[in-house]
Amino acid sequence: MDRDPVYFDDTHAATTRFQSLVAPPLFPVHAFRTGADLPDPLVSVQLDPNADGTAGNDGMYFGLPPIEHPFKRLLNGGNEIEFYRCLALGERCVARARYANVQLKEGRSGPMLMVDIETEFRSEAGELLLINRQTLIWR
Amino acid sequence: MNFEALRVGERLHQIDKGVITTAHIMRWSAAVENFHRIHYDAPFATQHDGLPGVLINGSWKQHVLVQLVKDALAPDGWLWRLKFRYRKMDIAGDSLRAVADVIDKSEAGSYGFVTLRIALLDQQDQISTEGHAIGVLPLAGGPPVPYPFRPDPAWSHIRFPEST
Repeated sequence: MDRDPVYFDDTHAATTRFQSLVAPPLFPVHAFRTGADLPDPLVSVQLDPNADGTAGNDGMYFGLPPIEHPFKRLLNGGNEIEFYRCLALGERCVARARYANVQLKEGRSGPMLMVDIETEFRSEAGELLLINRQTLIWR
Repeated sequence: MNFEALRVGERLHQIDKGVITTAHIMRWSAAVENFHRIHYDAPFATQHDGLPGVLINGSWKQHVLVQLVKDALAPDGWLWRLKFRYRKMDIAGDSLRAVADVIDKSEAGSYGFVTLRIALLDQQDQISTEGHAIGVLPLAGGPPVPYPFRPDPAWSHIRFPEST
């Protein structure tokens, strides 16, 4: 656990650069929620005992259209992240993703699809929070 | 952390996370709404997907690396850039330790810059995840690092090592 008091102690947070409670730096990347209007992903497991539980959302990022390909296995090839500020208590975050590069490569164990996704996270007022560049490897 | 006191080659910070159990992985997966069964369903992970066990989330490892560098640079420094690659899978029962070593320091404008080699290691000291981080620190008597952080274009020469 990261028990940094800037996440929960407002008296302490007021004495720091943040001046108020903030979320952990990477919080915006992993805190987006399945919309209440979307189907329950776990219905997929009721319909198919071999379903993986993701309901096909594995590798779907912030509304990017999926890339059609024959590959089954997804690996995270790594990330490069730039931090500008933390999301403050009461703020909303807006994520905007784009495919930065998509490339078919020949790996040691056969062909693979390298997908670079660049996602900008901003406050609703448009202030930059962080930029996440992620490489996904499908094979 | 005081920029002037940093020594190239020193271990700046270390976090021991101890044994990561299925209960820890369950808590994280639920919190981030990652419902992939490789993170909580042992028969699915091992028999269906052929994995050695229930997988520790990559997203959790990212947050541990951020915690490592953020705390190493606290209270006046800022984690500017982080880059890492996953080297192996970690499963329930593994113990993980995060380490940050100083590999370079330099000054530009009114600030100090430190490059850290960062890694997550398992109980056999095998590298799970590795990469680099660049932190910005105030110089003695110099201005504080601005918040929100705004990098100066004059700092464009401060980059990750080629090996990252």
